[in-house]
Amino acid sequence: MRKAGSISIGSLFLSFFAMAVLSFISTTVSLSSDGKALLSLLAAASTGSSPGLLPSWDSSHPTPCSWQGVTCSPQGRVISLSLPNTFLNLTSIPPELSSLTSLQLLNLSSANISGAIPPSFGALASLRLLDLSSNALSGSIPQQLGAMASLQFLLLNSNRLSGSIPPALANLTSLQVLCLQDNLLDGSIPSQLGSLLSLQQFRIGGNPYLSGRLPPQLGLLTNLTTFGAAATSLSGAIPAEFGNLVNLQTFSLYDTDISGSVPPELGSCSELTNLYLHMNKITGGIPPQLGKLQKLTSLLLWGNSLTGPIPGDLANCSELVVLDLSANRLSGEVPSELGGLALLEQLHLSDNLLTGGIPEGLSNCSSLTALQLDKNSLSGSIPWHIGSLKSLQSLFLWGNSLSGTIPRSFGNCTELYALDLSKNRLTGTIPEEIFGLNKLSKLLLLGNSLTGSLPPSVANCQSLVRLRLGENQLAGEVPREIGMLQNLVFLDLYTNHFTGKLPPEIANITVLELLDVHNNHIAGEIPPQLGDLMNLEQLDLSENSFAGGIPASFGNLSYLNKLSLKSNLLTGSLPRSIRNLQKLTLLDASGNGLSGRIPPEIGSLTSLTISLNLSSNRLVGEIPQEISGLTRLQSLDLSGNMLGGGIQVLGLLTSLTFLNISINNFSGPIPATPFFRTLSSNSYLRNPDLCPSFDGYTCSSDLVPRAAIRSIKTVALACAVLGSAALLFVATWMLVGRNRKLAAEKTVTIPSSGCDFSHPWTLIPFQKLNFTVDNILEWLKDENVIGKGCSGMVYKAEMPGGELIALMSSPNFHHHAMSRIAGSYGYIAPEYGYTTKITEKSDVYSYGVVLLEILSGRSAIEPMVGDSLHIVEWVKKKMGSLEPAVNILDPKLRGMQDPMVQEMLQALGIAMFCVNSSPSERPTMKEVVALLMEVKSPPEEWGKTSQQPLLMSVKHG
Amino acid sequence: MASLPVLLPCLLLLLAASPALSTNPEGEALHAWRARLTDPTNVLQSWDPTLVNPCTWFHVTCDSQNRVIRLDVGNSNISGSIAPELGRLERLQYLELYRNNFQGKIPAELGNLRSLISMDLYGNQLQGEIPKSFAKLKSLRFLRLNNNRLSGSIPRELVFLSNLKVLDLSNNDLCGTIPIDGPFANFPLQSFDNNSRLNGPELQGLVPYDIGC
Repeated sequence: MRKAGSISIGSLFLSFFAMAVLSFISTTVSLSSDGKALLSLLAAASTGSSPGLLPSWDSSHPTPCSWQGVTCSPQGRVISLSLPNTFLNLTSIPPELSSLTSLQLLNLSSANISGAIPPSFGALASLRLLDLSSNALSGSIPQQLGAMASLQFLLLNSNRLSGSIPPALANLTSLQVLCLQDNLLDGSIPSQLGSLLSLQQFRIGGNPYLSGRLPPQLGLLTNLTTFGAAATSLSGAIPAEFGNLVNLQTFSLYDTDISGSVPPELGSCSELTNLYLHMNKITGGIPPQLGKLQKLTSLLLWGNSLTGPIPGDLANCSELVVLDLSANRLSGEVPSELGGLALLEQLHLSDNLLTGGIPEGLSNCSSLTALQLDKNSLSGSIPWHIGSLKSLQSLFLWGNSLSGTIPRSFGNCTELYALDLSKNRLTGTIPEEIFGLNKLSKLLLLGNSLTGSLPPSVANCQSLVRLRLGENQLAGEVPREIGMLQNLVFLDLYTNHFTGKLPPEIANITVLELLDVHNNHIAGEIPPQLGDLMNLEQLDLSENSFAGGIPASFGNLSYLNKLSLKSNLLTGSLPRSIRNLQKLTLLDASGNGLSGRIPPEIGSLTSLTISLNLSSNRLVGEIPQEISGLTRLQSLDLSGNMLGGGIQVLGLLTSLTFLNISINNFSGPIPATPFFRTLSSNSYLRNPDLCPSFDGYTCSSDLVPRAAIRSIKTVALACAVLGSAALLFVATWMLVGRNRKLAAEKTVTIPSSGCDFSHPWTLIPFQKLNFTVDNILEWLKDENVIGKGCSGMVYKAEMPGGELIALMSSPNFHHHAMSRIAGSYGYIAPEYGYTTKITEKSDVYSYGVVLLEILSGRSAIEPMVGDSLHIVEWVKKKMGSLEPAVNILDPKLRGMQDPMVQEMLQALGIAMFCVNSSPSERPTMKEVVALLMEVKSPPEEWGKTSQQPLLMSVKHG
Repeated sequence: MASLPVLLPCLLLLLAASPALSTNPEGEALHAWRARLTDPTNVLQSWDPTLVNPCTWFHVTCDSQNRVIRLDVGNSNISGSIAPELGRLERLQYLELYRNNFQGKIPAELGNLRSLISMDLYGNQLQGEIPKSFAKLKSLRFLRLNNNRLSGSIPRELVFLSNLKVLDLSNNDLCGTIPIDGPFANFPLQSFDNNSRLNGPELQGLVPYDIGC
């Protein structure tokens, strides 16, 4: 139906055309219909395009035939429109172009066009080339394009086309080039495309959502020279039928989910020059039949799961330039036949399971620039003849089991840029010839058994950027000539047997970023000149015999990230200049003889996050308060020194996850932070004067040594003395959900008379309370504000029952749901202000506040009196001061008999336990009762207080 | 997206010339990741694939057995995605990738980092959900994912992270309600600020936690 419709539209336009010609001849100059159709392009151009776009497109011309990019037939019909790389800036392709029925060529590539491809283009029956590539076209490929019977070239690549490939494209029987790559096409490849027998190029790669299998019917496309489907999600095996593609030159199918094995039939694709099957899931062996590919120049099979041996037949591919079989599970030996590949430039067999020796024959591959056999199990020695590879630029043999010595013949490889023989069993010395290579940039010989010294001739190799010789048995002194290597960035000499002094000339290597000489026998002082290495990021001098002080010049190393000086013989104090090391994340000076105090400047190292280790030295004095600046520090080790004083300040290091302060002379309470609670006693070991603490301020031995003392009677006594203190405590919490509402009330009432806690904790459903959410909301007005909590305002509210409560409003959630918490201001636990969950521990806090009020005679908040501190802060402050603890007690109580005062002090300790700022550190109500029961006083006092236990009736809610 | 070069021989040669290899699996994982990152300031240039182990690479810290315990590449102007391979660093304690341009999802494989103490991914452009697999991070104390574009609800599985002390999920696009159990009882509400679709604390038993997601 559609096709018929298109034809009729076409004939309609023809008649228009005829009329236009007639009118032109008879009367005034008027633009042809083809010209008008073309003008639709300009009309569609968004205003953003330059005004001078296509100046030759003059609508007063009778025909568009002189316009830029337009070609006409002798009859004046437009047969070609070609405006590639023109900034048309169209938001859509005008469908009017479909009326150009004589059009044979339409090229609008790279013209900044978006929008969809008009389905009406199917009417362009004469079109032979349609190129809309490299635009921003979206939508799907219209199936109507299948009607363009003359089409030979269809290029829609590099757009944002989506949807699947229409099977109707199979009707384009003249099609020679089909480029759909680099789009967002999905679905699978229609098997019908196997009927495009004229097709020479078929490219659908770079469509990451294209999935399914490769249709075997594609094997019918015997004219194909290029097949590309890389970077897709195609799966399944490569059909054996692809072996019929006898004209195929490039087969590109990498980075897909293709599995199965490489079909031996591909050996019949005798024109093949590029076979790219890397980064797939291909298994099985490499078919020897590939050796029949006489024109093959690139064979990339890396990054699959290929097994079995490397077929020597590949040596018959005499045109091979690049052979990459790395990152597979190939086994067996490297075939010596490969030495016959005279044109081979790159041989990559890395990361396989290859065994045996390196074939000497490889030295016949005189074109080789890259030979990479690393990460295998190759053994034997490195063939001397490798040295005859004059073009060799990179040689990677690391991670094998090669033995013997490094051949001096490497000195002939004058183009060598990177030489990595690390992690083998090489012995002997480093041949000086290597340092004659004036292009060598990377020399990595890590992890062998090399002996001898590092010769002064190393300085000849001025091109060196990375010199990494760690984990060998090199001995002698580090030559001072090394300072002449002006391009050296990494210098690794660690874990060798170097002796003597570190030459100060190293400081001349101004670009040096890494200096690692750890685990040698280097002695003498650390050259202060090292402070000149302004680019140094990592300095590891550990596990040597360096003596003397840490040079103050180290303060100049402003890029230094890690500094390790551990296990040397360093003395003196830590230089104050370390404060300049503003990028330092790790400082390890452990295991030396450092003395003096820890400088307060340590606190300026705010980037110190990983570790500060000053253990096993002879440091004295107290931990400087300034260390509290290290808020991001995660590991601190001060063990094994002679440090003293309190450790309160360590409680401020909130990022700590490891701490060791054992074997010192620290004293006083251990901070009561959650982190300190998790530490085992090993962290404090052998500090006889450190004491555990409930609150972090006082040793629990001061207050609860006689354990948790606390006679209920004492509190009762206190209560009696206070007389008629009316305490009303209401804690209500309420959460308002979007869909449902609930309020619960927990009430504790402490009546003034008789200290009779007869009312249990109650939990009353919202519905049973005589107020609604709206009642509550009414009270949230400025005139009711009575204070400001940690994260919100506190309001006064009177419930319909007459109780006064405090309401707290959190500003954090304005959307959908509100979280509002109510409680008596002054008694609510701090977590009400900032957290989401109110627990029984919040009530314990409130109870602690009540106890403190009783004992101190102060109200929870005394805004009018003196410091106006909250009672908890007030008590903490008092306890932290030098005043005797008894000053906290209500003056009326202080005159009582000493045992009673002692008991009240014990009760004070329990109260402080209850008001710990961390809910998890507070005791449960049960524990509080138990603690109170244990408050002891001398036996003779018992008879004097006979009132009922004060707390008997408090039930744990 | 639409410009993946296909059939470009020179690109192929480049790819072929840089196989991502190393002698130890952890270095291999790290290098495979590094190969896909954009590192305009060469922060990772020391990540030499041919090294015996990654312990001398800058920004990598190992324990005494040469196992990677820290990755410190915060504030480094790096772009790319966070690789699932990082989940293979089984002794990793600190994963510090904050304030970069990391995009894409947080790989669920990070849940395999059983020794992890701190995960700081804040200040990136990460999308998708917070992986439920994080529930396996039993040693985790610090989890900061703030200032990203994370969406979905806060996985309830996180309430079992009993060691979690610091959590920051603010400035994302999370939805649903905030858990109140386990360590969540102690987190300040500021940890959840600026998630416009987040509905405040969970009302247990009343409303599904992912309502509005």
